Amino acid sequence: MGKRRLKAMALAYALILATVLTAFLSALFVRTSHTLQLATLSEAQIQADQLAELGIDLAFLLLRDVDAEWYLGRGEPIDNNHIFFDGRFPDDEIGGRFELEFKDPGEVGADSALPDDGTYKLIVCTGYAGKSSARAVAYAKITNPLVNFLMVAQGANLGPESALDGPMFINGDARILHAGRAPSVPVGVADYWGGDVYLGGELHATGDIFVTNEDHDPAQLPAIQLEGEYDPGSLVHDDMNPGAPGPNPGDIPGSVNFTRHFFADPNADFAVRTPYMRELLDHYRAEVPAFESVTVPPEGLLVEFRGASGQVTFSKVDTTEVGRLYDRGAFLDACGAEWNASLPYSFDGNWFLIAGERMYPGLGLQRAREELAWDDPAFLNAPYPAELLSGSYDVPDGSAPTDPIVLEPDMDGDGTDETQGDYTPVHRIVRGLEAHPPITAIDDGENFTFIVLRPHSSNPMTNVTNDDPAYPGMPAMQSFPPVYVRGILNGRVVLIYDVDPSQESLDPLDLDTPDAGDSNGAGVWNGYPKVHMFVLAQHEMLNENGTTAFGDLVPGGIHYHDPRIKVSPADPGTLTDDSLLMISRGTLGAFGTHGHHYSWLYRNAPSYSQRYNYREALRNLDEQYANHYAPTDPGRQDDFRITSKTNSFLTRHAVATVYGVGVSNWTLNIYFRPTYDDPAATTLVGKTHPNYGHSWDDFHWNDIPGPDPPTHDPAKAPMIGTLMRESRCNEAWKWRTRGSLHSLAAMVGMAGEARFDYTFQELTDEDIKEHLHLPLSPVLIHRMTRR
Amino acid sequence: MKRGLSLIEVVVSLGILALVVGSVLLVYVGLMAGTRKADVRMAAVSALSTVTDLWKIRLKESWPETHPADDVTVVYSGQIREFLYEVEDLGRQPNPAPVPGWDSDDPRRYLSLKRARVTLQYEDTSVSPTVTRQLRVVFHVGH
Repeated sequence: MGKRRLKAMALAYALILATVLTAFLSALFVRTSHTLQLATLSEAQIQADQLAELGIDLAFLLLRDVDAEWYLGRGEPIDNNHIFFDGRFPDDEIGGRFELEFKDPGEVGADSALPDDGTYKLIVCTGYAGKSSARAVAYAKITNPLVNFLMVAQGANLGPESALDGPMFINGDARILHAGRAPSVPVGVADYWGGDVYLGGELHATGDIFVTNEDHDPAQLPAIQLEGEYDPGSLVHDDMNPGAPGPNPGDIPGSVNFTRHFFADPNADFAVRTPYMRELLDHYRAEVPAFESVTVPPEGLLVEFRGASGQVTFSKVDTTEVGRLYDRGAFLDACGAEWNASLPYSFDGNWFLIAGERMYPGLGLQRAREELAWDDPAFLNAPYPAELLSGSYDVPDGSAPTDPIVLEPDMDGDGTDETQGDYTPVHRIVRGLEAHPPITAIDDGENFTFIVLRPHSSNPMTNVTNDDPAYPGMPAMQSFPPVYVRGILNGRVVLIYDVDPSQESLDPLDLDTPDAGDSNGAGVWNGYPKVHMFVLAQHEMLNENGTTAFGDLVPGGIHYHDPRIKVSPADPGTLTDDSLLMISRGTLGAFGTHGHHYSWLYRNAPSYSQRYNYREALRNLDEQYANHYAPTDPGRQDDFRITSKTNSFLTRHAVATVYGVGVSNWTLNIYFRPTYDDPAATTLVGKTHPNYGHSWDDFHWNDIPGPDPPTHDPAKAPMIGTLMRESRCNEAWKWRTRGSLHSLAAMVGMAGEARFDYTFQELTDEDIKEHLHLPLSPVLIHRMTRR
Repeated sequence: MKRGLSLIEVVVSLGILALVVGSVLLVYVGLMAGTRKADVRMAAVSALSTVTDLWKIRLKESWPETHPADDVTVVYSGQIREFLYEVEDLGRQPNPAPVPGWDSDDPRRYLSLKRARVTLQYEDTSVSPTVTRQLRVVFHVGH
């Protein structure tokens, strides 16, 4: 055998040996790895994990439900046998022990990631069971959720035409509604509504987060559940196009748009604790050292922030009639000159037809034509149906109406004198007599001025008699005088509308949750809150008060004198010290003149002989205010707009721009309507179905008579009378919010633009507690467990 | 000079190969035998972990809306894979730090924290005859 052959054999031998060794060692490695991997999973390890989690849960719950600062003064770690836990968590019952520590971010080098000054806390818990241990870490923010989120509520319906950009927390389900159909209307009937929804930021919910329609059997379509992260883009739900047979199904306009990176987190670890309104008011009564107290007169109160002066002025509410709305014109306006029944969403005003279908399924168009003699070539001179002549108004002197009452000579050229049922007067709210000396807001960048508004003590309630033919038999409702707020705020103010403790029994605040299925129950109506604060979207007009003694005209909505708002967490820091916290014991809404009804519907007071170009007046005012306030900061011109446009509903909506935090006890979207003789003092608050009420809409599906309301005969109810004579001529449609809106006891129905003002997130726990006097509560940001 | 492997060299080579293979095989088989008992337990522990996680979710999602004096233990039974288990819902835990002034029926006298105990049975087949054993973990669910 040659040397070469010998080498070849040796090589083959070595290869065989190496192969065998490799194969067996690989098997050995796999087996060992598996064994080692499982070795970390033991009964004791699971128990240790659970103990670490228990410590975090327990710490958070005590912070949330007992005392947000119970950890203070406990610098050393505390274990489950600490006296604080009162022997409730002994080793033998919980399967081991845990050790709990609270740390500031700076202690663990996390202060760069958690930039807030003293608000963030780290909760660290180590669990021990047998020979195993585990560690859990949680980041919590000791703050007040009202300043930390764009919205906190017990549930939320985010309706069409809304743009929400900011962190939100919903203690329950969040429903993003893009389309809906009124109940009892067959599929395919043109009775859908819809619109775009714009979302950015974060949405956390303890329930589920849905993109859904608000439809009813049999067309209820499955919802899309949001979870996780979404890149900017659009989401189209199938039922944007109902696709149902019928005369006018059309496409439901709108989609859900993620304007920037969006994070949806259903089933959040814990509900956020927000105080009940009673707790909040009690807290303020006990904690705030000095209040400025203002009495709300029976006429209602107009609160105005007067810009650079820092003054807050208070006047009695007065009204002035600025025009008259004629039924016939209203119909033409609502339907639009290009009205076309086959294109329900293509032109302005077709909601009238839609609403007609809602009232008279399948007969809406016919009914409209009958009532208005639409088919009559002599339409403009056609007489009104008899029932329309007997309107639902009280005559101005309060006596019972007689039929007909001649109010004006022939104005519409039909050869007859105008009667009571022919028109609706249009009012504006104007400044009345001074109700309280002005108060100057503190402007030291730290402290807040607390202003508490309380109804006058004598006969504080206004009886609002229900004379609504749509709800016959409903009991009279009572309401405290309304408060309207507008202007430019300079400084820091907490504005509270509360009742005097002696008046608690009149508005007890221990109301039941609204029952949507009991809308006509007297108990439910009586149980509604009676305190109402409105952001007045209506700007002061040049000729409104006959004087400019206060200086600049006061714009509608609420604006900050210093417009530099921190709108992104990446902004360098707090930019403005202007801050506003509005707390309404009852409801919080927006109110103002909108541009829905077109110019030729109105006639100028006092002669009523000339048409009042209302739309043009709105447009002029809109530009006037924008030009007046915007030049120094072009980016803010939208803040002073009166109206905004939308592409899927009517042409112009009034807006209420609101800076600051709004807190109400009730759902934020409200339905109310002024009575005609005195719209300011007798605001009637009606029930809103929590699923339907949205501030984007000036009439609500549920305030149109249902198919079978008690004692209501739809065959005889005049559609025009129902819709137009009760039209709310002064209601704002949309919020434009640069702050946050919260509902403590109920659901938020949100529409309009809402962008989070991160200035509030910059407040330290000391600011929140010592200066703003809001109670602290934890917000769980993030948690993790390590073995 | 040409020379082939001698017989002794061939035998020694094969012997070395056999020793290597044998020793590796011996170690592997020994390891298998040694961890078989642990494997049976590990499967049960894995199931225990799964049951614990699932029931934490379930108890949280079915959180009672009643006043929190739910001091009656509720027992649920179930099976996961081949293992039988039992979950005892021990109810919400009293608040260790009640604030003076709270009414006796104030719901805050209880924490939104439930205690539960899961017990899982498994058959230990690594011994003869087979023995039924139990694993138990106490867990808490916050809401």
